[in-house]
Order: sequence, then C-alpha cells, then structure tokens
Amino acid sequence: MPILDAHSFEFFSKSPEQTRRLGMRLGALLQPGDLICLQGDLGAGKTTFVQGVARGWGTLDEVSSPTFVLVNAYRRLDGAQLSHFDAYRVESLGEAEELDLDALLERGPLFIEWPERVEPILPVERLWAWLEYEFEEHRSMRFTARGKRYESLLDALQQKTYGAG
Amino acid sequence: MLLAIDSSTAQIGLALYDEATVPGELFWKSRAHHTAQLAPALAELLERVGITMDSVKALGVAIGPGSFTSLRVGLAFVKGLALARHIPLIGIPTLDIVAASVPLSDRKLAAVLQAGRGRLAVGWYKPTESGWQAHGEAVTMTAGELEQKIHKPVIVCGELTAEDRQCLARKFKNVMLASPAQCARRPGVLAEIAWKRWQAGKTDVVASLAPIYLHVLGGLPV
Repeated sequence: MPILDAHSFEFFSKSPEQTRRLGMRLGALLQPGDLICLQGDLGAGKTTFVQGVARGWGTLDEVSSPTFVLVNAYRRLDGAQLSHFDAYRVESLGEAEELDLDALLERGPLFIEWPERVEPILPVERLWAWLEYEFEEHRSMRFTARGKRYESLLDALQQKTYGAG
Repeated sequence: MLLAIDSSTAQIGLALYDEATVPGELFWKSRAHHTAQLAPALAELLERVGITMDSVKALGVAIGPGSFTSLRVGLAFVKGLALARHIPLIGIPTLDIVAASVPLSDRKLAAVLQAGRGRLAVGWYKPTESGWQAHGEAVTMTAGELEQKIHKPVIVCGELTAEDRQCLARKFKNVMLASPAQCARRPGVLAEIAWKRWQAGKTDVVASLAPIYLHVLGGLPV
C-alpha cells in the first residue's frame, strides 16, 4: 500500500452506487491516452467502478468484466473509444505486449484490471488505484498519480468529489 | 503494375508503380484506424487512377520495425491479396525506405521512425557503391540518447517530431537533419525497392513473411 502524499487521494465508498458515482466523475475528466490501473481482489469493485467511468465518459455500451475477452471497447458517438483490459488471463509479458496497449491509448483512455501482472510493460506515467473490500458494501479506494497529467487529473477528481480542494 | 503498402507506424501509405511512372501515391497519418481505412483507401486510389487489381502483378509491403497493430493490419491485408490473386509478395524493411529517399553522401545515416512513448527506432546505414547499406539491427532510444551517440558527421532522416528535431539540433556541428518533406516515408519509394527485388526474382514466401515488431522491453521473453 502506498504512503499517502500530495499526489494521492483516498475515498471510502459505502455502496456500489457511490463507487459508480466516483467513477462517473473520473470518466467525465478523461482524455485520449489516459492510463488508469485498477488493482484489487475479486469483489473489490473494479467492474462497478468502470461502469461508472464509462457512463461519465459518455458511452451507451454496456460494461462487463473483460476477463474472458481480454479487452472490451466501449464506443462514444464522436468515434472515441474507451478500452477496458483485464490482464488476469494474460500468460506472459510478451503476450500482453502483442495486445498493443499503445494503440489502445491512441484511440482513447485505457483501464487495466490486474495491472500488477503486466506492470513492466506499462508507461511509467499513470493513475494507479487500489480498491479494497472493507466490509459488507463498504470499499476503500486509494488513487496515486505519477506524472503531471495524472496529478492534475487527480486534483480535478478530488475537487469534483469534495468541492474546493 | 506493383502495389506497395506501408502501415508500419501511424502513417499509412499506398502506391502504384509500373517501372516508368507512379500512377498513384497516397499517404496520411491515421488516428489508429488502420483496419477501417486501408481497404477503402486502396479501392479509392484504384478507382481514381482507373486501374483495377487485375493489372497488379506484384505486391510490396513494409515489414517494420513498427507497432504491433499497424504492422499486423498491413501484412494481413497484403497476404490476403497475394494468396487470393496468386501474385508474388516482397517484404522490405521499413527503415530501408527511409534510407533510400536520402541522396547518397559520404556521411553515415541514421534512419528513424516513431517507436511509441516518445522513443525512436534507429537504424544505421553506411554509404556503398550500391546505395545505403544497413549496418546492424534497429534499436529503440530517445532522441536525447541518439544525440549522445553522435560524435561524427551524421545525416538523420525519418519520422521526427518537433521536439526530436530540437533535441538533435543541439549537435548542429555533426547532425544534418533532413527536411520534413524529405523525412516523409513515401510509399512510392517502397514500391521502387520492391519492384527491383521482384525483377531480380527475390520474392518472399507469403505464408512465412513475418513483421519486425518493436518491443517495449529489450530481451523480453515472448
């Protein structure tokens, strides 16, 4: 778990609706090329969070867990694409590399579940989120930004969530 | 008539070549939509110049280095054409195309293309009597790292961003930067190299012709 600093943000969600709402706020802020890593066990709320993100970003496509298809692509009316990659079933870094994450990033924002499995091939600058099961419907979410773009993205998310930061 | 296709990087290129002339040539920077744009662009080019696929007797393709998705799209496309129409296919290393568009000089040449995440793929070429000769394999590095390696007069040509140019210009005593127009990787040049290889009878086996991918990590287990 990271030590909280100026480029980190912590959020406690009391329900899936609240997790989705935070996702929507982030989704509305995303730009092409944004890389968001979601680390957390089964049931930590990764897919729920991405459902909110996709809504906030503006797709009408339904969000599902991409465990079996590796990459889901959600479309928007302006032709942009939000990519949702699940690294759980990827067997080697070489296999992950062949999926060409750079090409996905050119088309739009990219979310990666189980990012720790492919960490060596990821761009160094990114937003990393740790999602954790607390109890019942409560989940904790910690975000850490690396790089200028992600620091300002996280600032904006914080402002949207809590008002003036 | 030979049809050449280059989809190594974000730039897609198409050219028709018949030894004496280039009846049609087209290249543009695509926003990662190679799959959707390549086939319609070819159909439009053929239509515009009034040539049908029946006149195309050979295919040239750039085999990289380049990015995974874009190379795969181009190779799958030309392989489909080659197999369906029973015509020969010639694969040309992408940096050879960059080198071939530079007039021969007594300096060494660094041919480059964008390798993603701000890096360049760099191939070194030496002048010989038969033109530029590749020297070693292409390696990835940043423009800053390339600048550090240059201690003697060198020509740098290929896909360079404004930042890359600025960075390399620091070595102005030794670096001769090719102009942006000269740096454009023309599919017509690819067609010309492929035509020569075809005339020399050096075609490739369609099924086994493989692209040269650029890996994010050096020495990655694949």
